[in-house]
Amino acid sequence: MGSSGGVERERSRGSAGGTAHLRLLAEAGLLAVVAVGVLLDSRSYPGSLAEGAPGPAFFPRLLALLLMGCAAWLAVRVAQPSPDFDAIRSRGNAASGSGAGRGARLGLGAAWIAAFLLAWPRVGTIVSTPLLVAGLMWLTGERSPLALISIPIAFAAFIYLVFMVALGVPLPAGF
Amino acid sequence: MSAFLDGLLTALQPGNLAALLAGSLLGVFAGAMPGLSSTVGLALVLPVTFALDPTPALLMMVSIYMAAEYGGSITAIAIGVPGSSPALATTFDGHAMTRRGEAGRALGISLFSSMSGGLLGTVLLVLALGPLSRAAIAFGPAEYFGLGVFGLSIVANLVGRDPFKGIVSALLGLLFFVVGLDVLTGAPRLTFGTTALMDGLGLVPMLIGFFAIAEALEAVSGRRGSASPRGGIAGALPKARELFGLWRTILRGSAIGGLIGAIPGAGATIASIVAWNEERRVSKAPERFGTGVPAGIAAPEAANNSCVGAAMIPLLALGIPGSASAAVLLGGLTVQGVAPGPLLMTERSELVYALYAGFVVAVLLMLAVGRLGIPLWTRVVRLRPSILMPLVVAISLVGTFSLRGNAADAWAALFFGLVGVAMLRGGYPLAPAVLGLILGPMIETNYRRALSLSSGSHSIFLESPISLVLLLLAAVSFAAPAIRRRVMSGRARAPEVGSDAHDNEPRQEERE
Repeated sequence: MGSSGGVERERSRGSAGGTAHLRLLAEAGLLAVVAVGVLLDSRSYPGSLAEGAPGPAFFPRLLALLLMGCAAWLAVRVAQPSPDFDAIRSRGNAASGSGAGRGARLGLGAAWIAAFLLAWPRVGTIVSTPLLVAGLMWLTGERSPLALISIPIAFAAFIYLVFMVALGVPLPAGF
Repeated sequence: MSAFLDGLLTALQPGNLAALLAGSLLGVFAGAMPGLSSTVGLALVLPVTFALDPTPALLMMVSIYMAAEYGGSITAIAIGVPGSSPALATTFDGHAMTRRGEAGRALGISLFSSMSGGLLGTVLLVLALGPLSRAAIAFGPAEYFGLGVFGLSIVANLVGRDPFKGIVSALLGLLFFVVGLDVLTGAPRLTFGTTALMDGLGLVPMLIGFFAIAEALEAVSGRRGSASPRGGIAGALPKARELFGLWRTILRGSAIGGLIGAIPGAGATIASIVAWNEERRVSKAPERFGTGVPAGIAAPEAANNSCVGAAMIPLLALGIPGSASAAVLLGGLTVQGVAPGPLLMTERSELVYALYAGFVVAVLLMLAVGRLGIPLWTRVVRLRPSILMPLVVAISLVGTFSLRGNAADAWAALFFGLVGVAMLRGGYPLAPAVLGLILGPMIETNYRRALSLSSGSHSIFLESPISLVLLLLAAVSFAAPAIRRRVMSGRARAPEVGSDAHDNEPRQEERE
């Protein structure tokens, strides 16, 4: 029993470690992609206007090279686990928790906000902001129908009075 | 003195007084709400300040900053959860007093100490800002480059446990600055042919995205606690004699807060923990600290409020924000067309004196709002995150749009919110990225200007004594955390209470 528990723990630790490796490799890859993108874009920049002074490409290229270095360092750290790396890895795993559900909620939240930004100019502030608030409240776990209806409506009234009437901000009116 | 009185009259004008009062209310609320902080409070109110004149806008922001430092202690004392990270040390003794049924006494001590610390921090600001600004007038491109690099070296102190990730974050912030038209040649950089990116990525959408939307998205995804705090306030308030009997503690805490607050990157969290630890060290009964000792509340609360005035010294004199909250304040100043730096004292002296007086009025309003509102705040802190966070997102988006009436800014805020979430999940602190975006123009533009003046010779940075000293300081600042870690790891000793406690709040620490 004890042995079986130990194997389970090892398996779980191995799987978590693998996920952490993948995540850190993905971070390194992303940094490298950003750096390469910056280097490619900087090819089209003009030269310097003043003699001896660096042109507009100097600073982005320097940053790109530093990011490349960071990506390489991250990859090396993944390949050579150290006590420090293990600590970071375990923190990352602890923070991940039940990642899929949280990731889905985050994605839904971001998509709902993006949908609001798309609809806002067309349907106007008074209609779209209560929908934004109600949707996010529901996603955050609010299930009280009274709260889901009254708070978004009160918020829309607040936005109308403070931003549109008191501060005179021309928020999208819609339609 | 007459200039200060003029400033006081300005601060007491009805519109400015209303801004200060609104700031106090919002500040206490933001500080008291777990999940919010002075930074989030300032980011949220930033769009509202666009519609105000510079003076009320700035007064409202400093009032929020000041009141939020006190507000954090309400939840720290009532429920044992710091409303914001600078109140962490207050939980040690504050909540212990609540458990003994002395919450009213603890809140009274916290409020009086916060007020005293706030006033002493303001005195430090008044004394130090003028001389530092006068010294900075002699700065040219080489000196400003040195200053920018020194400012960036603050990253080394803002990075938390993993310096590598802090450096990556700062590099990303510098890269965000590159997007847009090059200041010296007008060449588009990293715009990918999009006209929407020609103006660059704005500081305000970044601040709102990082500190408000990212926080709210984390709550939506369930990574922030969704349970509403429970607890209550009871017990008599402290007697005046007891409060004045703490004057030595308050003075020590304020001095520590003023000193640490004026150092960019150190911040109120560190100051309050150091003040608590120092108070325990000098106490005749150090073993009682953590069990509900009044001095254990007075020291950290005086320190974190003293930090507010002190943190304005590098911000106003040099344009270097030393904390995330100061960075948001800088964003507010920039939007108002106020350029912090050595010329601020001469070109906008009326604003500076109004600010001095505004600090004093803000502290007094904080006292009134804090004292009268104790029953209200204990109800407010029970507001559910499922209600609060969606409202934070909506106000952030509407506010960002209000900046220029441009939907692209709201999209940018969402983009930075998602980037912020990704960075937090990867363990990359946000503050260095903000610092990178702010200091990028100072570093690049002055580096290129200095080299064009010297025909490409780097000796210009070493020939100027100011530049040389700043670059040496930057080198020390970059290396200090690594050296400190090495020294600490070399010593086999028990961890100190303060450092333990600090380690409990890595994410809050990153934000502040």
